[in-house]
Amino acid sequence: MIHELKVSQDQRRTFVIAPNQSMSGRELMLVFSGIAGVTLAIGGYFWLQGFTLVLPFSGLEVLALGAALYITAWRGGAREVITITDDSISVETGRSRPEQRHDFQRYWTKVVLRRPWVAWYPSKLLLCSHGREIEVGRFLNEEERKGLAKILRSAIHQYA
Amino acid sequence: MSYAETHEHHHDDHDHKPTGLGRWLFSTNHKDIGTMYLVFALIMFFIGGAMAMVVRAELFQPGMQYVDPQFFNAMTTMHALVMIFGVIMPAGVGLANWMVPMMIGAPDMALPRMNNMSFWILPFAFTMLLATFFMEGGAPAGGWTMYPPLITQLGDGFPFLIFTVHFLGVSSIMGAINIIATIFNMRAPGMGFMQLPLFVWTWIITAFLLIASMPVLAGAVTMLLTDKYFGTSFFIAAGGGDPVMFQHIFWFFGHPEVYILILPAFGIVSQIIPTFSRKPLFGYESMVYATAAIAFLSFFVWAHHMFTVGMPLAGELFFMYATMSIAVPTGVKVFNWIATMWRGAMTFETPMLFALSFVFLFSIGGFSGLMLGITPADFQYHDTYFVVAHFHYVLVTGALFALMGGAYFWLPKWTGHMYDEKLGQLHFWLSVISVNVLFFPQHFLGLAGMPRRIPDYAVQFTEWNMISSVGGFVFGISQLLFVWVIIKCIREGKKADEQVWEGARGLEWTLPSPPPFHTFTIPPKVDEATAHS
Repeated sequence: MIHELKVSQDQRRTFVIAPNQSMSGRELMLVFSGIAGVTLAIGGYFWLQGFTLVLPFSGLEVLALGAALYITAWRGGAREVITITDDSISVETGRSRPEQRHDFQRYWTKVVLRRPWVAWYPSKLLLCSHGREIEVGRFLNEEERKGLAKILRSAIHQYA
Repeated sequence: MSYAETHEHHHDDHDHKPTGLGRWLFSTNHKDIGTMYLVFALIMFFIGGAMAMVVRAELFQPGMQYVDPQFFNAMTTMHALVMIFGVIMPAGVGLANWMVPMMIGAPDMALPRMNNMSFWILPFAFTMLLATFFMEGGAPAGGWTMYPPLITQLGDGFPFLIFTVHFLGVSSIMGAINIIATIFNMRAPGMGFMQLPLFVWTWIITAFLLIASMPVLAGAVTMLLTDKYFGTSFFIAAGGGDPVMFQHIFWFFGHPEVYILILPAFGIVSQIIPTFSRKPLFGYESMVYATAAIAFLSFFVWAHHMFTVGMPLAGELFFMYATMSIAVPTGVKVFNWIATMWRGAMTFETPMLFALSFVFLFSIGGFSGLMLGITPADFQYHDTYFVVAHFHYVLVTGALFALMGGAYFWLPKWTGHMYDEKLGQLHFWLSVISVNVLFFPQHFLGLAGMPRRIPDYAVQFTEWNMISSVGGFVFGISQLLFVWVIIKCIREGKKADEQVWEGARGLEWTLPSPPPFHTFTIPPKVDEATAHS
């Protein structure tokens, strides 16, 4: 999902790019705890009855479920903040706080939508300048990525 | 400043739709994977159906006609394994793959690569299972329930059976995890849980059931394996083990499995009936709670499959009453489907015909289930053809009919063409008449005392067996018509619009028919018109 923050007084434009996520990490944790609790309780009961080989499978399954939910939640927490000022473009990536920052000179920055060499892979949206390139909008779907490319081109072009 | 669009290789196709074998082999697209699940289920349906034809041919008259008893038993066992794990479950997962992301407004499943893997395990696993026919000792013939010590007497096919079950379990669990991750995390903005279509709800609950019950099956069959090859005695009485405990463990998985098979069918019917009644589903919330209640209760009724094995009176009473109690939420659902139709502007296209026959014939299966749930009566019915009639009414006229109704319901959305309504109705009437000719007489056979899983029988059972076999052959041949309707619909037919059915409501009906390769590239907005439709 792409959100544009209100244009500031100095005409700075900021775009926040985030994956669509319909549940918070805490809520997912509660769901996971509930499912894991029931599954491990069943496995534990059979263990106590002497049928010890149910619990290892329950454990493996709970691990797989936990990993799957963790991966989806982790992916959902990613943020990219693209700020366009009069003469620069900055891209901050991170989760709850910026972890990496890349700065480009606005005039020289190209917005490149690179199509994949195999059709079923997603395209890549790149900001390139002076031999450097950074990918943005990795977690967007295809149409959103195309939309973001259009928005960035127009925003960069608008005041350049 | 400048901008550019580059191609690592040239692809002018804006829809980005991969082609060739690679599209299917490496697909991470939920629609492609859904299609593969459905095609796989259809192929397995004919393989399992051919086994049923062998069974019915042998039972056409008393005496041994075509096959030896061992092969006959292998046919019944493999028919069950193929139909349960290779047809009903994959078809349900296929529909979930196709429809759940579209219904909740997600671009795809949460874990697309895992989705691909969970499908491709299936053909591999079933090749392994079917290969046992050519092994020393033949295919599994001890019943799909795999009770020891009989099943451990199987020859070289035994470890292949066990690993097949493991692979099928892994595939199911991966599918369930993916469905949970998708529905919990990828719903469109504004789509709360009580706005979910009922098909999605039934799949959440089915996924929970799969996750809770599958490790139990995996553990049980692994203990069979260690008993046979590694010197353990979990189920070997001579070594201090308890073979009856396998039955308890198996049915602790097995009864939730019954609901894993039928809950998605409830969901499909809950989509079809409101559409063709042109009314919202009656009692949406009670439907959700009833589904959850059925799933919850399914963990406390397993021993009704094994009343005759011997258990304390208190245990028999508990499991009998618990079984009876499932009739309450099931009754709520049947009542709500009927109330949805009440004073609706009903029309009777093929999906609706299948849904209506589901409501009526599944209820017959439900009532015979209640009869079997009464402990003293079960002592009479146990292991007779009455049980065979009961579970075929639940699984064929129940689960399978709902899946077929679902296929007709969504075919225009998937293919972009309307199916041939005349042929669809012909398929329905042939199926519904022949399936009753096939299975209803089996009630009489069971009540008269004909045991199940036998290749030969006493002469007084001849007439009803003949009638049943004729019904079986007609039902089997009728399904070729189903394949033809699907092929015809893929190739040609009146162009289907977005809405397809006048009374259809929900996000999936806002997409073009067929939907684009990448669904909901921008999350849609959920409003009252699209909520829980």
